[in-house]
Amino acid sequence: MAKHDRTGRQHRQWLEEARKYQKRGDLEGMLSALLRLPPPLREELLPSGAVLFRQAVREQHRRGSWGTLGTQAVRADAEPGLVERGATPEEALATYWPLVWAAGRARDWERARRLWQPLTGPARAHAPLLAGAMDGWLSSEGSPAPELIAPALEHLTPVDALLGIEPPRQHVSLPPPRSLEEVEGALLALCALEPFPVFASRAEAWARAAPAEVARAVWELAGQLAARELWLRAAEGKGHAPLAEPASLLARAVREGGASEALSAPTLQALRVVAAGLARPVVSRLEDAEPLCTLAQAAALQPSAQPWVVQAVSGLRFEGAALPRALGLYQELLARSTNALLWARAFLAWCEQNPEAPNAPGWLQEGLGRLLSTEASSLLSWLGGAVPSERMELIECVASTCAPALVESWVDACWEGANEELRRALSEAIVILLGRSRLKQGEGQLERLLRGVGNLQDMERMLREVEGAVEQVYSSMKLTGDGLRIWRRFAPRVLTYRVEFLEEAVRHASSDAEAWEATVRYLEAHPGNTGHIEALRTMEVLEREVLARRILERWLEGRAANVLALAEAAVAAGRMNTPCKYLHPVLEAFMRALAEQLPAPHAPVVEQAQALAHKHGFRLRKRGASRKKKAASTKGHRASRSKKKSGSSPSKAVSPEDGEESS
Amino acid sequence: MTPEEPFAVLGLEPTMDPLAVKSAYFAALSRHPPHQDMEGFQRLRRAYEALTRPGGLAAAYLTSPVDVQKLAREARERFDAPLEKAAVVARAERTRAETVAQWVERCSRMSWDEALRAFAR
Repeated sequence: MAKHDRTGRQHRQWLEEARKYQKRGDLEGMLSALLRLPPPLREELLPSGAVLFRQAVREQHRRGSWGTLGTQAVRADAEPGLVERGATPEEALATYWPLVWAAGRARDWERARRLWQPLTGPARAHAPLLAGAMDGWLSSEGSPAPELIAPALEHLTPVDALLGIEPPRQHVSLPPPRSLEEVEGALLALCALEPFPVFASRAEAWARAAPAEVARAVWELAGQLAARELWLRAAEGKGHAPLAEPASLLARAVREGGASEALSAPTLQALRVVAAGLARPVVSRLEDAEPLCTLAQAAALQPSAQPWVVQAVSGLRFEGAALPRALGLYQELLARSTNALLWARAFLAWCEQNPEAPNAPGWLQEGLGRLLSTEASSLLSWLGGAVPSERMELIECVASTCAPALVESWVDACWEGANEELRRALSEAIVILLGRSRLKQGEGQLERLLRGVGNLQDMERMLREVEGAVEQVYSSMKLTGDGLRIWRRFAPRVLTYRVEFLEEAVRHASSDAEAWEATVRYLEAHPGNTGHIEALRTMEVLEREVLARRILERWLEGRAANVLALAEAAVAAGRMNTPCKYLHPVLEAFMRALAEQLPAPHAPVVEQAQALAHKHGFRLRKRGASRKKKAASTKGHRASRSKKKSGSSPSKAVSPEDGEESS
Repeated sequence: MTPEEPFAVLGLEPTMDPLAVKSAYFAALSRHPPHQDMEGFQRLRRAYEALTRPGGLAAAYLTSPVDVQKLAREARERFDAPLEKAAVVARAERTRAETVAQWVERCSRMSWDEALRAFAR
């Protein structure tokens, strides 16, 4: 009983609403309320509603509003009174006609056929051709036999397109394949009828919308057709640019289609086709790099082809505009393959592209980590076989941008098997690591300093003052923390390879004896003049006067009374701008030895050393000339005597330190 | 200047076989001994080094000339006939679909009276 009341109340409410909208002339509002009512309750408003409905259908048909008419078709199907109540038979038929088309265009075939029923009789009676075509169209659900439609279409008067009322020719898209059996026909037809870019995008859309099995088949055939297009374009010989489109589709087909075996050979061939004729082995243009990298990435998806792709890519060099694309390729290949050659090539490319970047990206550092744990020897092989400039570039870049622990492991792994030349190169990595540690240390100190700054002006002033000082202090700073740990770990191995390491060893030595021991090790590895001079200069910088004197003594001892050796030492010291306090003893030793061995040996180096000695005020002293006599001499005398030829008269070397009079 | 194609210098078809490269090098060396043909020997040496450096053989194989005419010919042989057949079928289907579309477009815009008049017997 209560339910009955509720329904009655609801019906009254809808009826009220329908009346309200009817008074306002609002067909939409009225119909939505009216059609909810049971048919007997609609009677009150149906006549006036039907008038409004027919008017609306006429207007919407005139405007070609097929979507709205589709809704009206649903309403007329539900309540035929909307079409027929109060209308003449002709008026009712004229209203059904557009509703049939609206339902058909919406592919609502059942409804279209129902709405066509009232029209069938008159159509068959007055226009059988129309009736036949309509029956064919509706019963075949939009795909009638051409012989049913064509005669009817021909029956229509041709319309002059110039009048602007001829509807444009309909372009019909090919239907996508719905099953495996349909794939070949659909895709071949698409390829045959559409331009390649349309084929590529439509095939991709089909594959994305299809079930997995059909999608795989679509990708496989699309890939093969892309390869065909690539061969045809390459055969035309119009350069690399036209190859990008088919290469891209082929690569997508391999990737999206699950790297089908059927596409393996065409992909490798395509890779060779796009790579052939490059100014090998350097790729610098983006239009060359793009298809090459795209196909290489796709080819590497095949496990059987991957090693070859990795090797081939490692043998190429990318530069300039091609670098960003190449880095993408390297990253993807390194994620699949651990290969020292590829990793080194990738790192060098990254360095070239990012010369100022402080940290290497994760994928390169992870690649190094993987190589260290699985193929450390291949890293050494690469370093051993690389051209020196590339080797140094890689060492510098890795040491500057990778995590210190990783660099340490890398140097460790390569050190044992490395030859002397490679060890020297690797020691550069330690120099850089120590520098990084110092820089970090310096930055920490600067940060602590700046924490106390009150305002921006203070900060600017302080930065100006501090910047220069930090630069100076930086180089003489003692290592702490990580830097010290790195130094202690590598010092025994690297000490003899660079004078910087001698400096470090002396700076961190706990006693003079330890410092001297390190110096001797260095000098034994560098027994030549350059080694001694560098060691001397290092002690000068570190203000280790005693050690410097010991180095000097050791240097001269080794060349005692050997005019040629001393001449070479003097010339080398002069060339390397050795401070006078170390140069003069060498010159003095040389002049003494020369005085003992007159006549002087004829060698250019002896003449150069003599000239240098002369420049520094050293002269050959006559044998027997007493110190006393010399003490009485003056500068003027010295000048006048120096003009005289010493000739065959026996002489002795005299140093400027002995007194001005000595020369 | 484009460097010479190393396989061609050694008189070898592009290959991934290092032994074939080695054999071809020594065979070519006997034709261009350094004491008789220094220039020829240097060309051989350059080509051999390019092929034997790490990754060099794979890169050379990758960048070696490919007979694209042959590939194009094979692709035509395989696909042209099926493509032509599919095109014929698809064109017929397209014509049919276009005819229907034209029919729908023209008739649906007519009024009932116009349609009856247009198709009156």
